[in-house]
Amino acid sequence: MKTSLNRRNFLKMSAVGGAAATLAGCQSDPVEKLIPLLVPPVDYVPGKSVHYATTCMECSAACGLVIRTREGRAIKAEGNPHHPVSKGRICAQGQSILQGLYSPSRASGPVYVVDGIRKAIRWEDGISLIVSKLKPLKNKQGKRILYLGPPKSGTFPSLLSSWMKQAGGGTTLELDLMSVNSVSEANRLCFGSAEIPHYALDKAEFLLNFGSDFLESWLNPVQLTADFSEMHSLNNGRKGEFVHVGPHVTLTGSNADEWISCAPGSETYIALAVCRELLEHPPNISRSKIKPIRTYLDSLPIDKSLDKTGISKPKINELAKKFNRKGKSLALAGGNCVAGAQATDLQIAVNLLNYLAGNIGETVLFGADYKSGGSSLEQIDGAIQKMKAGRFDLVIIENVNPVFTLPKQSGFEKALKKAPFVVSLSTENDETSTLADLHLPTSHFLESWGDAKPRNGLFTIQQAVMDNVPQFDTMGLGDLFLSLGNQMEFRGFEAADFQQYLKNAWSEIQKTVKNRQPFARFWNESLRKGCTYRNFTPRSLPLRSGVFSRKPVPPETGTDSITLLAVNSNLHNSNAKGGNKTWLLETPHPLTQVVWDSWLEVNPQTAERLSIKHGELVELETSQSKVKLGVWVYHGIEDNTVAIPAGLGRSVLFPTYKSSRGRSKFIPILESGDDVKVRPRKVGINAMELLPWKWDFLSGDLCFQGEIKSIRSLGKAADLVTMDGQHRLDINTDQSIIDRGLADRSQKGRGFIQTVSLGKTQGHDIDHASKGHHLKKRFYTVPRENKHSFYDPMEENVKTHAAMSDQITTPVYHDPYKWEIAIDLDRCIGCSACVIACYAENNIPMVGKNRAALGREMSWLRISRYFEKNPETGKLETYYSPQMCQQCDNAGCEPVCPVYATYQTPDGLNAMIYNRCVGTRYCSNNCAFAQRRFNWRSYQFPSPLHLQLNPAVSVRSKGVMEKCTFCQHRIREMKDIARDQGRTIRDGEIQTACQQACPANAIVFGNIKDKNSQIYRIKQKNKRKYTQLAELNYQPAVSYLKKVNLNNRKA
Amino acid sequence: MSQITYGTINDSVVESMVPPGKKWIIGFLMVLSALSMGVFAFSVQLRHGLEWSGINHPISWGVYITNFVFWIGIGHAGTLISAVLYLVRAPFRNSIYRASEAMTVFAVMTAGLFPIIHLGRAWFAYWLMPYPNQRELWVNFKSPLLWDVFAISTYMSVSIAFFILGLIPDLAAIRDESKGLKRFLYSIPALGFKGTNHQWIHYMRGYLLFAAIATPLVFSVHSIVSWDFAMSSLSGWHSTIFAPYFVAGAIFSGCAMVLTIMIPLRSAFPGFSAIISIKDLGGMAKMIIFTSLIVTYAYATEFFIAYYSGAKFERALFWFRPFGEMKWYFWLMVFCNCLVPVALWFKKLRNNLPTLFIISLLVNVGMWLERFNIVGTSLAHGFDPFAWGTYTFEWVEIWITIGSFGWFFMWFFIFVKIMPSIAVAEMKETLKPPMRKKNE
Repeated sequence: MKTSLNRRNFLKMSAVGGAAATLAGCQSDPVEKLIPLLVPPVDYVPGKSVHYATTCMECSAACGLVIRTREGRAIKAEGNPHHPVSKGRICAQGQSILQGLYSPSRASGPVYVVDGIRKAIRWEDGISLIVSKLKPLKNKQGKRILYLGPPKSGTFPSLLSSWMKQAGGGTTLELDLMSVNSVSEANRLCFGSAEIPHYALDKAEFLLNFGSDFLESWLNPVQLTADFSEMHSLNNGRKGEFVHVGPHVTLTGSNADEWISCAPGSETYIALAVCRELLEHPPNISRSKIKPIRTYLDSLPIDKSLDKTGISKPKINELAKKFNRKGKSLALAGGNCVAGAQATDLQIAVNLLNYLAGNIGETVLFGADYKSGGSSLEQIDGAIQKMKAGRFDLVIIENVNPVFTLPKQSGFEKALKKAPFVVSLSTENDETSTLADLHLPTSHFLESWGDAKPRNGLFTIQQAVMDNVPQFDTMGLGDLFLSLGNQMEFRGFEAADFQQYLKNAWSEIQKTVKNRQPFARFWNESLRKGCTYRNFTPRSLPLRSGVFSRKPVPPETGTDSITLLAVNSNLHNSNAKGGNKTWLLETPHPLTQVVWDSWLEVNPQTAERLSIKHGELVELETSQSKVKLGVWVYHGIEDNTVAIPAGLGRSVLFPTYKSSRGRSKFIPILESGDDVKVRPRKVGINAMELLPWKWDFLSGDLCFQGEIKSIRSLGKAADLVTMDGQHRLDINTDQSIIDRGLADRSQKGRGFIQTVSLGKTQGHDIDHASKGHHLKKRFYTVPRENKHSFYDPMEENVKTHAAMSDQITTPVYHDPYKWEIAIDLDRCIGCSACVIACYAENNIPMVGKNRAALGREMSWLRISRYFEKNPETGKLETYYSPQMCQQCDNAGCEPVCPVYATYQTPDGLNAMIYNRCVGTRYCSNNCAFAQRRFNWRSYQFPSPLHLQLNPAVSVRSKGVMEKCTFCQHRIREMKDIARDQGRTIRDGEIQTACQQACPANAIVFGNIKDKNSQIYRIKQKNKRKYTQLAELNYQPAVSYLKKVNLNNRKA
Repeated sequence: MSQITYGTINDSVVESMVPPGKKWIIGFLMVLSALSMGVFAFSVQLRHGLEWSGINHPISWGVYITNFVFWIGIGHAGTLISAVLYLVRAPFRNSIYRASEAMTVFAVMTAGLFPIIHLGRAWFAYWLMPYPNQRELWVNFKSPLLWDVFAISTYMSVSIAFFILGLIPDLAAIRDESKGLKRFLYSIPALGFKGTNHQWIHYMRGYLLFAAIATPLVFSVHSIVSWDFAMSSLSGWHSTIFAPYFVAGAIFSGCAMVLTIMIPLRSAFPGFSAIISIKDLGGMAKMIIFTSLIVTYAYATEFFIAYYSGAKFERALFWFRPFGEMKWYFWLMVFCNCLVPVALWFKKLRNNLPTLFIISLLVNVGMWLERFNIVGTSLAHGFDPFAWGTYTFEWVEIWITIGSFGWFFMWFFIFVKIMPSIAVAEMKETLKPPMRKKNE
């Protein structure tokens, strides 16, 4: 290795190594097995991780991944820094792909169902079965094949379409319920280009968002989060503003500076009202172009509709004023809570907004053509009808689960039963594959080859990072179709395997990206980087007049009906892929903190009217179905609207740990080794059961709104488990919040999250803002003159700590390293990607619902969520703070351990020696941050999830304490490398798992003794720096940077 | 039996040591089954971890540590009675000190189990001992838990030695009364005591010495136990009042336990009621009044300091105890520890055995709750509001608690049958020596 080895180079090198291993003989004989251990590749060293670049296929965004493998198996998913869209970051769902790879629900091999009996067969038999079905179809050209799969870009779709054509033709549909077709449809109507444009959030100063959850599950949340944090974080004393309009506050809405609540369906007219207001301040567009818009807007009942929404004119005025920024603003719309029957009309209104503010070509860039979303539901419905009518002889379903994800009313299940022969190619056993006649499980995307084209000019390779997981007999999707084509003697299916096919296709791509290197080199480099790209050419498009014929339906009023919203979150979306991944189920939902369950979010007023209380079990009835679930009274939802999370309700394989929950506490509960079995259990409720089969007619996006027939309290407590504790009564509990029907979930003035406010001070330096008159005394820190007691913390001298490291008088204990972390609360959006990265990296066991209810959760990193009341407006504001072990210099845990199982390392970390721990748990009691986790029992990693375990981190057994280690093993690994090279570690070479995952770039880790490190600069210079519970003098190594609010307001 | 004589004392004590009757056997079986519940529950815990204890995050110490402090506290009254009251020559001590001292030994034996029971890996409990080993591992003398190890082991050895020392003259007496194997067995602990003047002088010196050694332990051991809490930085624990407060509490609960044991003992053996006078029990009741006042004062001080210091975390915690969701533990504790002992101010109630017995039971409950309050509520309402929690009792810890009573009473049941549960020699001391009448 070169001496200029930093982290990125290290990754590159490792990837090269990996790629080289794969390519060792690629000219003659493609290497099938990545690490054939009989003849190990030259760079294979046991105990050393090898990184492979590949592409994430969890959603259609196709982010770049680097998969860390050890001893030939994938153990961790990380972002690919070379990828121009995801830029080395990764989301919570992306982290969880390893639980898909090692899912206990995976199908073990081909299954053929004869007369209702499931029979394991060999692959050859499975393939010849399909071939026998195909033969009669081949010559008919009757279009009697239905192929239903997830949205795919890249090489496979062309292979598939060629295959379909030669097999006799049929219908190929992509099933994805993300509501983005309305975006492309509106763009087609407005600008004549049916595409998803590039939204340059980072270039906007003002963001007006109509309901979309762009930080969670909409379009590419990784990219949008990164851009959003650029735009919305403090930069030279300024930060962008973000207003969220919609009936429901999700994680995205909670990060806004203001939430404007409105009834579902009224967003369109709010957007149009802002449009009309924009016309009053003549935008930078010629009069002739404005005139038809004015005529159009005048023809719509905007005033009348606005009265019904309850939003005042001055508010619209204010929005318009802020929005009018000559191309420096951006309006977005989308997401489930605005996905009604007129979703496209809202998109058109938003397009008008962007057009009038001059944003087209500035913050809305056409030409990118992001690949996202599936086929229109109209087409899907057509296919269902045809299937019902028996017009398909062969139905192939690949890795989608329509039986579960489509509303029951669609009749998919019934139609599927009518189909003569159904083949499932699902990797996992799911609700749909169990109905298939033949199940040929395809390999997970980390085991097989493929590629993707997430946007124009960007081509990414999906490299197989490991051989098949040992217990699963699967085949790559591409390979399967190649061999089917081969046996049918189709043209163009001669390639030996899909990897070869891909290479042929990539020689074309090489021409597209104008790369003139020899192909082998081009392919090598693309493999190493995971992608090849050139920037797309941004286009600005003129507005088409045809759009003025649209007459959006004005919002209804006077109805007492309650609307049900099925909403996505950062953890689950309506495609329900994460619904059986325990990491996603055990990570608390950021706002409600509910784990392992579905819940019903109800506005406090609605709850009062329906006389239901928080935590009660209710029976919810829509015209489709009736379910029972717990109520979560939530201020962030519009009156007369209730919300339920989408994507839950799947059956999850989890160990059957016994629990005394709900049983007598005097009678023994015994559990023998045989009692703990991995059994499926249903987690939550499938929101789709409650929704009607209805879609927006223009775009074919599913309507995520249903009408509630009744909500009835069942008069008993629901079994809802939440991970927050601050709703408990306290001396500082705010009675006024309780009077409003909510619980006080504030931090009770304890200063964990501190804020500063920018307002009129826009442009002042932050020092002024934090020390001067802009600092509102809402949080704990007090200036010296206001001290009431010696326990009150003073405003900290932020320089002290960094300065202390200069003084020779202090013991040179931390030499040459002292690891510290800084977390910028202004950047953190609470998305929990770090939490799951920590689960994955550190072998943290999942404990399940019953244990979580008892306070037995094991997560080393949690996102504390607080709802603080703004004393000026009386509104509740949401704050997030990632809390991990603070690695205190003067820690509470260390002196109380009787056996030195926890001690201070020379690097300034609180080391935890599992082997020495006897389990007195005093350290946990004396940890002011409540960060230690105890192994109340030995937990299981249901097979094959144990293969994901990181060999660098020990798996803890019952009776020992554990906690965040600052990814000590990564420090160790890099220290060894640095020592071999006779140097010290450089800044940025070590990234902790949480830091690496963070899409918002909120976490900085480094050596405070290194004067050139980023962490040193932050701790030395940043005036927003504070440590939590400073008055205890624990001297935490984790510093937080204060949240910056605009005008002392937040959503 | 109108008058106590040397003979009646001998007779009643010997009578208590006759082979067990039906009642004793039934009682002993009950005690053994309670113990076996505890043993069973502990074995389940060893096998599966602390899964079915109510301990959780953030309340990492719960019933086990509560039990530990409770039993250690119980022990203190015995040492107080046998050592401190001996030094100050309190007259009501003699009839009850032997049983209380036995109670001390058994209570410490019970208490000593709990730090091991509560460990996550109980099989490594010996790692808390500083023993030389090749791995060069050592213990952390900064940890209050290690101080505990030494405090408890010291306390246990001193109280056992003191107990055995006090038994010598009585064991010698029994040896002299018995024959065969029994005589041989009793002759071993009797250490050849013949009752010569010379021996008595040495014996009395030795006893005084041990009383003097044991006396500071009454205060130091429970102070150290209190530092398990006070040395942490948790509000509700981090308090300088803890040492005296805990010592007073320990004596409070110990005296109540003495009554809880002596009153049934007195009625179990008919001869005892003459020896253990109601006045002696009343003396214990007065101790209870006194210590109850100290404890009540300590509660009030804690609240006052929480208010007066202005520390937010302290204030929040001391608001949480009486008004938060765990308030019933607190109010039950105040009722048992502060209000119930007020009844003892009245002589009539104090001298009424059933009342006294019920009060002593309530005080025991109250003191258990006091420890649970300190352990549980402080942890439930710590610094980080996001991590606030609550506690539910689970079967293993309930069974182990029942088992600890079984363990304690098993020793006591054995004790009353093999050893004189009233100090014969010392009781005789208090009597007028039966001199020959002048005219005889």
